[in-house]
Amino acid sequence: MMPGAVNALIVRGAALVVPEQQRAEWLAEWRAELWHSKDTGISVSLGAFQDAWWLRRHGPLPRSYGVLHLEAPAPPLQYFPDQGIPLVASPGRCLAFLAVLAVLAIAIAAALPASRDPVRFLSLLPGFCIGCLLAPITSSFALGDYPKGSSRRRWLFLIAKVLLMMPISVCTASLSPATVSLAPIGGMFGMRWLLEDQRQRCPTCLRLLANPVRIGHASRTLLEWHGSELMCLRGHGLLHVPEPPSIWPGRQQWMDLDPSWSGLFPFPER
Amino acid sequence: MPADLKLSHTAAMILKAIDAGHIYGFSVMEITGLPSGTVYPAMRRLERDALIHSRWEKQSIADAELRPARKYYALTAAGRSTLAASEKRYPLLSKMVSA
Repeated sequence: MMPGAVNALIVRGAALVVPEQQRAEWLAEWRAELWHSKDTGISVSLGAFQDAWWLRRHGPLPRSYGVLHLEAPAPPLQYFPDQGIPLVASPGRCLAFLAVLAVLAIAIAAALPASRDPVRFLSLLPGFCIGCLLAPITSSFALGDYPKGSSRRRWLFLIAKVLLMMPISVCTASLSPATVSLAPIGGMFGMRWLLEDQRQRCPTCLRLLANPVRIGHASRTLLEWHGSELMCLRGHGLLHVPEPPSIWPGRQQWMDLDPSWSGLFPFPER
Repeated sequence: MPADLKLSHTAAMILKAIDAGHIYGFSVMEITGLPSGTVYPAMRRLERDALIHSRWEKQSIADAELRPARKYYALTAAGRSTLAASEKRYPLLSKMVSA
């Protein structure tokens, strides 16, 4: 690995220690310092940890003049989620949330004598799969148009969510004969939530998009595009969701933003 | 912060370096020979104590030189008087750091 990449990695790691409201400015300062000290190996960047730890222990400093090149500090962007649950905004939290639910469902199913039979458990799997396949009744399977190269992580994330959703639905359905129908229903509505959650995420960092803005007017639908625009708070890009999908390009479209936009975002980590 | 505050030798050296025109972290490191893990936290402490203040370089200047903008540090009035007191305490300080 190149020393520059190692330095960047070290500073990004240290940035996690810095209080969030200071992180962007702190990172900008360290990146500039590393740019000027690029021939000194990693000895300079290792000091970032001590610097970050000092800030963590002693709290925020007075803001610098011309913070990030603005005469007056801009108010930080607030997080306004569109439809997603803020608890599952990050991909890690989302998977952890589903994993906790899955473990709970398995534990409850294992504790009840009626649902301990593995054959019964397996017999409910087809119902769950049929429910998943019926999900397009309530929500489209189409995930949108994204640039090439970002799809692998998104698919792995979606598969992980489906795999965690499966024990939640199947174990809940196996609790008693009266709950058997929950396997296809859980599959259908679970899949619907997973797809909608997936469509609301940034293809780069897989975090939930935020700050939806309506663009255009429904009354001018034949003249111009109208719909919603959501943004990644890390500055990776914007998502355009058309309304209604039947008139303008039916699939939502992702627009990448290059790093020069990062100063406008509250958490411009890349 | 009182002007007769007794700074550590390291903090006084960094203050002197900034006063001598080494106004960003890497330059202070180079001139003082101190490691980055000492210089940056010390500069944060000096800034918190209002002995120095920082400002961002104008983006247009950095853009013209094709490099990222830097954060520059300068002494405040309290910093100058504290430095003067420190130079009396550490007579070799003015010889150690030159512009």
